[in-house]
Amino acid sequence: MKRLLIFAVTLSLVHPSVVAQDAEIGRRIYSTNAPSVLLLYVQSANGQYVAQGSGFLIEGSRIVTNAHVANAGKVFVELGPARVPTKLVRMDSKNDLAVLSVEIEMTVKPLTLATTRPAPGDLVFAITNPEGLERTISQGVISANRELEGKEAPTSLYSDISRIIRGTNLQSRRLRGWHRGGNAH
Amino acid sequence: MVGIAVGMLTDGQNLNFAVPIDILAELLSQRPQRTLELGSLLEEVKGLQVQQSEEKFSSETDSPYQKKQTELETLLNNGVGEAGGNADDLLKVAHVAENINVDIATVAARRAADVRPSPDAYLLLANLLNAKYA
Repeated sequence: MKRLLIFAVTLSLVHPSVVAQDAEIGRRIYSTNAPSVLLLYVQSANGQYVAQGSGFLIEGSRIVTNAHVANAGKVFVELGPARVPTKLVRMDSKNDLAVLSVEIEMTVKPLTLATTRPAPGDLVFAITNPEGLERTISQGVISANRELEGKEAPTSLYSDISRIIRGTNLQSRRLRGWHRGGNAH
Repeated sequence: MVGIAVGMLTDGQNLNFAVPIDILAELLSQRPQRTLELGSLLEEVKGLQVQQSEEKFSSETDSPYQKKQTELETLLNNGVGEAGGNADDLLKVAHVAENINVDIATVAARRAADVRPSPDAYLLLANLLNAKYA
C-alpha cells in the first residue's frame, strides 16, 4: 500500500448534503465556519515555535486538532495578537485526533458536529491553514468511505476527499507538508 | 462538520484522508480523563498492563485486550502531557511506554532529549527508533 503521509491536518470538512456546485454554497460555508478555524503554533521545549497547525473550535472552548500536532510540543492558539496556551484534554493517537482546551472565553462560534456520515459523492469543503495561510477553503467530494488496516490506524474509517486542494491557488506548490491541521465541513 | 483531515498520499491523485466525525464524537463522549499526578498515572499504567496481560490477545478493536490497549495509550499520552518540559519525567514515561506503544515512547524520549540532551535520552531514543524501523 502506498505510504500515507500524516500531516498536522485539522481539515474542516464543511458538509451539507448538497449537490449543486454553486459558489454560493462555498461562500456561505466559508462565512459561517471559517472564523472557527484556528491557527495553532507548536512550541518546542526550548521556547521556539517549530510548527504550525490548524484546529477548530467546538463547544466548551475546546479545540480539535491532530494528535501529531499535540504531540509535537506545547500548543498555542493564535487569537488576534496573542498566542494563548492550550491544555491537552483528550487524545486518540490511532485516529490522529486530539482535543485541547483554552482557559479563556472564546468569542467565535463553535462548530457543530454532523450526526450523519457523508456518502461518496457528497460535496465537501475543507477550511484549513496550509503552511500558515490562514483559513483557506478548498472544495472536494467524498471519494469513498473505507476502513484502513495498518499500523497507524488499525480499524479506523476514513473518508477519501479527492480534489480537496484543487481549485486553490496553492495547488501547484509542493504537496508534501500541505494541509497542516485542517478540518473538514 | 463531517470530518477531520489527517493526511494525503504523495502519489494519490489528489486523494486526501479524513477521520469521520463520529470518531471524534466517540472520543468526546468518553469519560473525562482524570488529571493524575505523574507517579499515580504511571502506577495506573502498570496496573492496567497486568490486567491486559490476563486478557486473551486479539487485534479486534472491540476486544477487551484492545480496549485495555487504548486505555493504556490514553494514559501514556496524558503522561507525556503531564511531564511537560521535565526531562526526568519524560524519560520515566518513555521507559514505561517502551513496551506499550513505541510511538508514544518515542515522542517522550525525543522531547526529553530536546529539553535536556543526555546520553540516557539519546540512547533510549535510538533504541526506540531501532525498534520502530528495524
